[in-house]
Amino acid sequence: MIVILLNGIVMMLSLYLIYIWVPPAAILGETSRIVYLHVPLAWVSCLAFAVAGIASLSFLKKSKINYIVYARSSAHIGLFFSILTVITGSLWAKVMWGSYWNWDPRETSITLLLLLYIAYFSLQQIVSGNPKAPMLESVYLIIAFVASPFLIFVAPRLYPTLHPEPVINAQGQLMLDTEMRLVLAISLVSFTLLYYILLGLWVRIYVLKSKLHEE
Amino acid sequence: MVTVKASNLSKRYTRMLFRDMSFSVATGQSLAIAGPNGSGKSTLLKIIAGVMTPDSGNVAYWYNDKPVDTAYIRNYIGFAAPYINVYKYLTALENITFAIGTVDDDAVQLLDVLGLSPHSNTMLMFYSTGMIQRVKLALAFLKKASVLCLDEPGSNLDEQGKRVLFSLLEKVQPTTAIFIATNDAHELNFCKRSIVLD
Amino acid sequence: MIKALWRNIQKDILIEFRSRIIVSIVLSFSVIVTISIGFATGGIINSPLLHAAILWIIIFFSGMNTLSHVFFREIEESTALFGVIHYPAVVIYLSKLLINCCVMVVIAIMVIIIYVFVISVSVYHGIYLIAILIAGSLSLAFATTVIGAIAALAGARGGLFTILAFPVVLPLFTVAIQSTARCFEQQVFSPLSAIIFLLAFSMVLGMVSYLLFPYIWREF
Repeated sequence: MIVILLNGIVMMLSLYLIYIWVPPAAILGETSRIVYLHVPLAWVSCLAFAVAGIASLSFLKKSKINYIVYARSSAHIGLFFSILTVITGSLWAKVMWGSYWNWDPRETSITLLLLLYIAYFSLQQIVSGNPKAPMLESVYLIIAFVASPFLIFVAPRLYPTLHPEPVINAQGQLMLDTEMRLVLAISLVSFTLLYYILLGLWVRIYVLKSKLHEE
Repeated sequence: MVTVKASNLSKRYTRMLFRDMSFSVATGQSLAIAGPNGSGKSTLLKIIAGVMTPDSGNVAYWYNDKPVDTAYIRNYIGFAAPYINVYKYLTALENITFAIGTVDDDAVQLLDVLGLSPHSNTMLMFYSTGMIQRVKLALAFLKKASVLCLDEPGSNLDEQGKRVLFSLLEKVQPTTAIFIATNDAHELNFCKRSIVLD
Repeated sequence: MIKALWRNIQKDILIEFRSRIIVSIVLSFSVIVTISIGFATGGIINSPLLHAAILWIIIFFSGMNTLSHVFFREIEESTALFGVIHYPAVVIYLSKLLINCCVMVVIAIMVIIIYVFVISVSVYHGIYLIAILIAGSLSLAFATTVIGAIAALAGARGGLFTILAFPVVLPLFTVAIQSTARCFEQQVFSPLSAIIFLLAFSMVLGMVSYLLFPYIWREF
């Protein structure tokens, strides 16, 4: 409860900061405000994926079904956030680079993350009811988790990119003023809190659903 | 000398199959597991053989009063069951080579006793179900394991096949702990003890 | 361990040769697709990148037919438990991995030979090309063997394996395509970083798969 309240306050604060307080970035203009939404969304997508991977690993180690519930819930949230990331990113790309989709390495990695989530959910749909479902899901998620650093960090750097540096770094150079960094940091915190709350809710929904099934 | 100790085994699928089941079977003893279809006979046999984990409880193997690591239980078990298929694209001899490692004199002799010698170089896809059952039994016995798990060993066998099966069982009983999941009266009679699942 | 591994491989090779599924479907699949692409384009494709992409797509989809096949066979014929009661799961994994590696390399070599034969492409760096093809197909096998087992255990022949494997292998796919394209260009380049990437990728995924496989290949 306290967390929800706290998150509400931080959310409000970051909204105020994003839309009223912070000055628009030098070159990007008013559109730069989307960065405070886009970057936290991308961060939560990755975080949710990492949490799901670690939860799956814990499931294999301790074989407690709770961990699977966490992995599934986290993946659900991650899917939702990565879709939002792609949408906000392509809107921004349309304004800044002229088209919705540019196959920029960062765009590519978030799409791959989205694909991984989709693959995970296809697997989940197909194996549901199979006594081995939790095992299969967690093994797949761990494999994907292990492959993801190659996906997100290594592969984009190996071949020539559209942009001299990944988007976030390019922004970092533009955002030299501390005000913008501060706002981004606060926004990141508020979205991480939001993720935490959503995860708790999702887990509760799962638990209640499975109880309903048993009765 | 092997002892198989099962303690407080429970397993549920769609329903509770068994709960808090405990027993101990040593070399020279035999245990029959009976019960209607779907009562969990095969599940219990798989748990005994260590290829399935129970929801709670455990099966411990003791070899000469020393505990056997779960990773090596496989080496102590011969297992024949309808749900363990042999490779139909391999011949009987090739299946034996795969499972046991070599085809020795005992193997040749056993195949002869089971009436498989003339066909031992034929792919199993050309075998009848009864002949395949004989191959499965041959594999289980040839492993010379200290524990023998048989699920409906007499299925698909003719009278002569069943006679061979019982003579083999009699022969290995003194040195082996035998588990048989069955509803066949003859096989139930062979075992000194039995569990009935419901 | 080596003996056990060898017995498993021997058994799988015998079965594959007798059932002829890999030989007939997989190999002819790659041949037919390559030839039909040559047919459709009249053998003229101008971009090296396009050449590389087509080449790897053929290899990937030919691989999709075989990489999970070795597990599907065990599940569909309920022989999986037969293997498990005689051998540790890791031996089974390693034997399937080795078989998949061999099949993938054979596919890659075959595809490139037919490709060069039916489609006019100038290969400037032949040895690099072979090295990249081998490294790429090996890492395809390493990355997807355990996913093949997952697809087989999920009991879904067909699309699922491709859906599961594709996002995981995409990084190696892009690297392989990029560096293969360079082999069709005159410029001098070093394929070393790409090959190291591919091998590192396969090592990491192979190691993780080795550890994870025993968790899923049991309880049949």
